[in-house]
Amino acid sequence: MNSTNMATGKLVKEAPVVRPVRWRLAALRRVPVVPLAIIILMVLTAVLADVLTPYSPVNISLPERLRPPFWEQAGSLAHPLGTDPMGRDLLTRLIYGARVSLLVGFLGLFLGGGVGAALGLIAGYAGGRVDTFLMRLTDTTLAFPIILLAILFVVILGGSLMIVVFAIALVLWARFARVIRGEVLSIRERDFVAQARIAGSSPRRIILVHLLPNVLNTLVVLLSLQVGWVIIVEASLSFLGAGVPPPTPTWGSMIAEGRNYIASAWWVSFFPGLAILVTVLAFNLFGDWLRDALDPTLRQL
Amino acid sequence: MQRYILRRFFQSVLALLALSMLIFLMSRLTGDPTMLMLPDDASQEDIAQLRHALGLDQPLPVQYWVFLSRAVQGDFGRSIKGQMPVLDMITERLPHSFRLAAVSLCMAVLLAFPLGVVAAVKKGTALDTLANIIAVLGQSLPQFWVGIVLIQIFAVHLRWLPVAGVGSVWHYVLPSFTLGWFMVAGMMRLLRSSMLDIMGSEFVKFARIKGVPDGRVIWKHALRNALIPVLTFGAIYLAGLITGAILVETVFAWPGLGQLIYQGIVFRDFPVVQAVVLLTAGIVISVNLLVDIIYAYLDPRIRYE
Amino acid sequence: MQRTFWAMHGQRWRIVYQLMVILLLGGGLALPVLAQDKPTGELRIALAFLGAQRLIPWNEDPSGGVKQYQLLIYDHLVGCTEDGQLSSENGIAQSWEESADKLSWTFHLRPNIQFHDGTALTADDVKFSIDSFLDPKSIGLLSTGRAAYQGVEVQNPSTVVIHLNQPVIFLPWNFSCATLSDGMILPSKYFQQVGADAFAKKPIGSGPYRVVKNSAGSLIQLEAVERHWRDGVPKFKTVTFLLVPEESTRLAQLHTGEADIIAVSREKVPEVKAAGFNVFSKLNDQVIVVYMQQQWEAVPVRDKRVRQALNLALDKDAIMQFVFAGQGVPVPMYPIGSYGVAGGADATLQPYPYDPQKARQLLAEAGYPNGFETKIYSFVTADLPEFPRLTEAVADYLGKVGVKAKIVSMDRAAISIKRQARTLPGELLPWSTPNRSVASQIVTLINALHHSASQFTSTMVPELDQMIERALTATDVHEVERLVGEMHRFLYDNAHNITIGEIHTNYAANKKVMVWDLGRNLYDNNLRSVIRR
Repeated sequence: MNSTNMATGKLVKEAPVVRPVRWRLAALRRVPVVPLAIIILMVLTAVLADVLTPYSPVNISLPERLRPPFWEQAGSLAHPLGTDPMGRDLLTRLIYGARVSLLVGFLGLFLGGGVGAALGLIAGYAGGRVDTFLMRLTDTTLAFPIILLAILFVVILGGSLMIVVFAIALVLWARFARVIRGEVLSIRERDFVAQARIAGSSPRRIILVHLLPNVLNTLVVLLSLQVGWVIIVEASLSFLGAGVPPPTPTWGSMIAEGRNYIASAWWVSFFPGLAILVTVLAFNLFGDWLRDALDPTLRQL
Repeated sequence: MQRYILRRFFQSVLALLALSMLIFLMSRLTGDPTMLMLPDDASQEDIAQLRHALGLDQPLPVQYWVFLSRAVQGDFGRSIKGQMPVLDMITERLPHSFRLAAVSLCMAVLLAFPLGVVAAVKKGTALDTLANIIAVLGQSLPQFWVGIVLIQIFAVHLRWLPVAGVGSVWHYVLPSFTLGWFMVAGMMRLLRSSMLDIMGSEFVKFARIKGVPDGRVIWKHALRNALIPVLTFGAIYLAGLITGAILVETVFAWPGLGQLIYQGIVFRDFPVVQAVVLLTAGIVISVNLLVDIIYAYLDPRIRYE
Repeated sequence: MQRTFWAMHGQRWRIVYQLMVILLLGGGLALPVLAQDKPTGELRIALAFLGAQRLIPWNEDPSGGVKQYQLLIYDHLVGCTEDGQLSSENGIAQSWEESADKLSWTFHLRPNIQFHDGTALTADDVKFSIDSFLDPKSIGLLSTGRAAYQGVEVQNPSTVVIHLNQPVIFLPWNFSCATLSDGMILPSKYFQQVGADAFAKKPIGSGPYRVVKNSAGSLIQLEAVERHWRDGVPKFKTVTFLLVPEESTRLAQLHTGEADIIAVSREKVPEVKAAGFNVFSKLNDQVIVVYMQQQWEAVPVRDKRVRQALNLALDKDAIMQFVFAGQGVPVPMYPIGSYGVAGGADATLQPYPYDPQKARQLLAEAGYPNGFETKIYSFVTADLPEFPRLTEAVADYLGKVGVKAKIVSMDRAAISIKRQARTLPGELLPWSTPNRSVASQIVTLINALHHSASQFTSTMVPELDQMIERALTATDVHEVERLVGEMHRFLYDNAHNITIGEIHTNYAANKKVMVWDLGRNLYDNNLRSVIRR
């Protein structure tokens, strides 16, 4: 990497300084195979949805409504996990639901996490008024009950996939900003940052080249831990009628839809519930391991 | 020190004001409550008349000023839907919300305790993983679903507990468990890591060498010190629990603030939404302020930021 | 030797003893008879919605279940039968007459009606209550236009005269339990003495139950009066209304006995019946529609053939069976349902049949051989949980004839704004309204939905406007009913709404309630018959 020495005007080669990611061998030995496998399975399902099932997830077939899974008396292998109240194949909706739920989750995370991390970096490095202002902003955002903020957003603008993503991002950024800022505060007094400053690097450069790689650990851990949370929030929004609108299948809306049938048609909300449970558990366990592997001092997360 | 407190206080007030303005604007942008209050056959004049009577046809800055000047006197206006004083509506439900939040916190601590201790003491074993899974389970299931299933099992099938509402001590059990389980994972992790830290410390190692039995070591030193971050964690969550329990309140028919603000949003009952949001924000910002001040007292470096 | 007590005083005491036995036995037999005259037990009713629980009728819209508990606490000026007709036996007024010039109505009050605090109900209370309803800040009585009312006069303690600026031929209906909460009579002296807020905390009415506890967002607890002038000695000592928004929770409460009556959704009815509970239905309570907004704009639904095609494209029987669990029937044209026949609706009209082929043909004739694109809105309400599914089903059927309706999810309030702002040209909107039997109510509804000057109108048709105006100003009841029939036919022939049908509203109860006719009054389910012996 090159930069200009402001004092002498000469091109100076910078010593590459990246704090090595500390992979602890002990943790590596305990790679959580099962959670990882589940995550990969879910992602593959989401991507390959169109190929995996012959049914459409949205076409209604009213006479077929509420058929039980194949091992029950009225069930058949044509609909292995049964059908929903509109006659749609449950397994198909689960598969497509993986796509939507994971999409909402990842989009919301990257949007919220990205904006939050960026603001956290800026706040942590800049300090002073900028920092104070951003921190008060996070205070205000966090003062709001999360679900209600999302509802308010959806209520103003109507429901759609992108709106739900935005609502989630709106709630998420504050958490990321806070944590990343904390990390930056502890890093920015380090030698290599001081060196870069003396060498005349612009703030933008310092943030991007020096600070960002070092908060990456935290960022990655936080992201993985929040996936589950986001999926759950999407389900809660659907319960309150503010989620991704029908006929798009999401695991959350499928559970919400099936909650009235718990006694009579248990499969309608059981299987999406199981899907959420397994996926979120996998992400949480994976995130836990990741945190232990990368930097156990992050245990506050 | 005093300047620090003053500065933070001033910033908090500003934050509160900004929030109140934001909520004020947002709720009015979302729609006209009069259209939701009147039946389908209301005529245009009726709607206009009602809006005028409720003061909703004034320009926005005027409405905001009216709201603010009354709010600082403690008058949060009247609910648009039922013409009741908003403050009364809040004071009726606040105790229910607060009690549920407090009991849920206790429930979470009760659950996190054994899990955290087991995980720390039996670190690396299958028990550690199991404890972790049980804790994380609480964050892997939607709260409303947990509540509904618990009702089916414990109230309908086993008849051990009441279904919903308030009334007796037993009415607290299911809702507080549902709410509390969500926090268990975070608390457990904190407890576990704090305990691990302390158990690995020189002091404890020395005590062990001296022959003090393990149990006493764990109890007297590890646990007590581990409690502080857990309680701080809980205190911060408490504020959020008071208004954020809408899902549990809906399923268990709990008359809390979450339901109040949700109805307020759906029916565009601005005064209610504004008042509850301000109240919550006030609580959270105050708690944050208090925590910040305590930390500043303990660590002078922070004051100069 | 000590002789026993009985041996010594035997004879005398034996007689006393026998007398006591007889008295006790007789008393014991009499006791149940006496006890029959006292209210016993508790009735717990779990509903999805209790409203604002203000308990002051002019402060709150009575729809959605609010009127149910109001009717136990207060009495109306004019009574009503279960069927939706006026009654001179059930209300505070035992007779009334319209003046010759049609500009005043005189009401003669029944004597010996008392409020819960023992004070007598007089004409002053009636005047105070009606004045309160006429106040611009009140909610209710707005649809008939308060401009028509000049004032209320107390002639003597049992006679009230209402003076008008113009004839209001349906006036008694406006103050009866057949329609809204307008006309509920509250105690004037007590109310003005303590003020509205204090009154709301401890309300006093003249109904069969008084308020014991009003916990906002939780429950309303009522206690029976000793004897009511109309309902006699109430059956249950306590009636408690519980707010339980979540249906699965209500069902659980019914199973465990925590609730005796619950509001149950249509699709749960078979399951609840199979579990051994009684289910009572208010038949054809709500009429369901899909509005076509802003039909005067340059949109496909401007063309009558397109509108008819959309009606023909839907299999209403299948929708009734699969979306509404068979708990309803198709009707010819919204907003008039089967109750409307009593108000003059045309009983010869038949619902539009299911004919997708004809629909496609009509669309082609109108210039849309490949259909067109539009939007259909979806929202959630507590008493109509099927709405999102209805939207999906309708979009599906329309898709089969080439009309691609994109589903947009939005909450009710936001949709209302768009309706008022008229930013939904040609778009589709599912909605519902209660079935109405009173002609004047039907007219005001059609006025609000179809008159060009109305802010929620979906049509601008001069011919229709004229019919509405004639109906609003007619001075003869039969003329109004005739016009209702005419408007019914007009809306039907021109297919101004996509009508689905009318659906039942259901309540499930345990053994405490074996008989219950829910009646046909607006926003009411006749709980008063349940508390009567």
